[in-house]
Amino acid sequence: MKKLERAFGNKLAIAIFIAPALILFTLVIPLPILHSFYMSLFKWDMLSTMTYVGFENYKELFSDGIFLSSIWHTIEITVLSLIFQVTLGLFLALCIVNIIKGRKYFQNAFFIPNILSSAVIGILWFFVYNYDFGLINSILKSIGLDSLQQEWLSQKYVILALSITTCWQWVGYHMILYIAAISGISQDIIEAAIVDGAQGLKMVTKIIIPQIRPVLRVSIVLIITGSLKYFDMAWIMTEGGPDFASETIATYIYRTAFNKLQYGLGSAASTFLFVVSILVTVLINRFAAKREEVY
Amino acid sequence: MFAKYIKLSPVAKAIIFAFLTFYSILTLFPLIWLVYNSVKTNNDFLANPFGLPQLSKLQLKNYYDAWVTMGIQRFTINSLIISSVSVIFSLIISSMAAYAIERMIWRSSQKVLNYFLAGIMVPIQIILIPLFINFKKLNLLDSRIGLLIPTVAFALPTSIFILTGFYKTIPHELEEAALIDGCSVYKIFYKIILPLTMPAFVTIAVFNFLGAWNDLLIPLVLIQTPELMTLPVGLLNFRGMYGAELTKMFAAVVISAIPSIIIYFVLQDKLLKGMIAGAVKG
Repeated sequence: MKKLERAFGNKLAIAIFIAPALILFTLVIPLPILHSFYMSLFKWDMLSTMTYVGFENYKELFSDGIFLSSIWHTIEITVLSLIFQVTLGLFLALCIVNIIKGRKYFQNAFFIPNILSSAVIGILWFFVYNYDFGLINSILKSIGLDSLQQEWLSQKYVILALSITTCWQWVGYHMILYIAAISGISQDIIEAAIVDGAQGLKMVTKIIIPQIRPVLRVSIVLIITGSLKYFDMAWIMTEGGPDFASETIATYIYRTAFNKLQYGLGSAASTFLFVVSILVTVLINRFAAKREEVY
Repeated sequence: MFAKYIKLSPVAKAIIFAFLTFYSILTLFPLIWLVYNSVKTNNDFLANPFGLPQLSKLQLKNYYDAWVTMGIQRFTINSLIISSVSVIFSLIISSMAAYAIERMIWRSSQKVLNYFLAGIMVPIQIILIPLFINFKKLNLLDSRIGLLIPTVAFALPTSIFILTGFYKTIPHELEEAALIDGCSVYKIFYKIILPLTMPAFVTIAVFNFLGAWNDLLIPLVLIQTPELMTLPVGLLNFRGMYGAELTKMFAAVVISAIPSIIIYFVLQDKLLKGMIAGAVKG
């Protein structure tokens, strides 16, 4: 139908429809990424003039012990988040799909933390972990386990404490994804598996997990990319402390640029984070795609 | 659903139920603790942080102080403005783009879609330094417009993704018929497509509203005057200023949490739909 093609292939109309989104998006996301790379080649504090230093900022970055430890903390948070959120989320999902009564209550109870802002969660858990009047220590005290009281946001425990808070915030979200995926498994497959004698753990490992693999992959990608940009909790609860013990790549970028006004160095760290994010996403997708071919 | 097929023994069911109950209490208790301590005096809280408040000494004044004296009122209004206006703009802009990508006929439409979708993976920290510097030059720091621009832009990828998926399901006959009746493409979009998009709009609106409402990093970098601070930044600022008045701080945190909880309970189906759709694109 000619008329149809002419109307829906109208170049001007297409341009008018797509332009606002395309321009806004390009100005706010892709162009600043390039700009960030450009700025990483300069030393600049916004007051003096920009000086070109080549890759000097990158050299400085990788000889800065705090930056190197921030990479390590980011990895630790990623691994702990994966372990806590995937296993617990899957376990909760498996429990919930097997009950009928109270289902709604449990889903809501586990999901509620996810809708709160990280400022609310960060401040709440800052108080939960407090040594003198925090919830954890006062519970320990009231049940006579005084000796277990800790400075939870200390160098020793801070990464674990942050990861637990993050698990509290996100586990319900992943659980919801898993519940949706499990409920979407075709009834024939489950009935056939039952006829074949698949029960309990066998059902989980042989039928459910392979069937929800795509959603598991999505959830793993989300946790990893989320951990790479880990900022809110670390900044709200500890500002990367004590003594940089919870500094992540993201808090490092923020501190370097907006507290120390080293825009070049901060941009170098940003560019590094961008490259790592892209690499990780590509690697996971490739790895996961291969595995799916095998099965 | 699932429970129909798997026959668990009553004992197994009871164990699962008991575990879920225990774990749900564990999950909710920090919030409950926050709420009941928000009506204590500071001294009562410090003396016994775990204990319930005495009914005769309920400090509802904490809420008044947080709302009026400490300024939570203003932060709430600021958040409300930024979140609602950004939702409106993101709906308009993303529906236009999604329509062009999914329904109109041009060669690079899939490439443009992928270009937008790639934005989902970009950590926001990467763009903050250039944004801050350029906004400073353009005098957009400490302004609502400056805050709106990145908020809307970051809402686009997911919104466009969900909407293109939605537009696939609308039958072409509707548009063909309208065209024969003499409608222009613009009129078709405005008169036929937009009304049909409403269910998807609600989902995206809830999703983006909560995203903007909860966002910390963009307003933290772009807003410095207390007059324009949104709730998350205001709360953080607060902790520095009123750090010693703990139970008032608790009241402030409770107030900040209430709107999200109300939105969740009123629109949870839409919100969960948006989250699941937003996640499954990977």
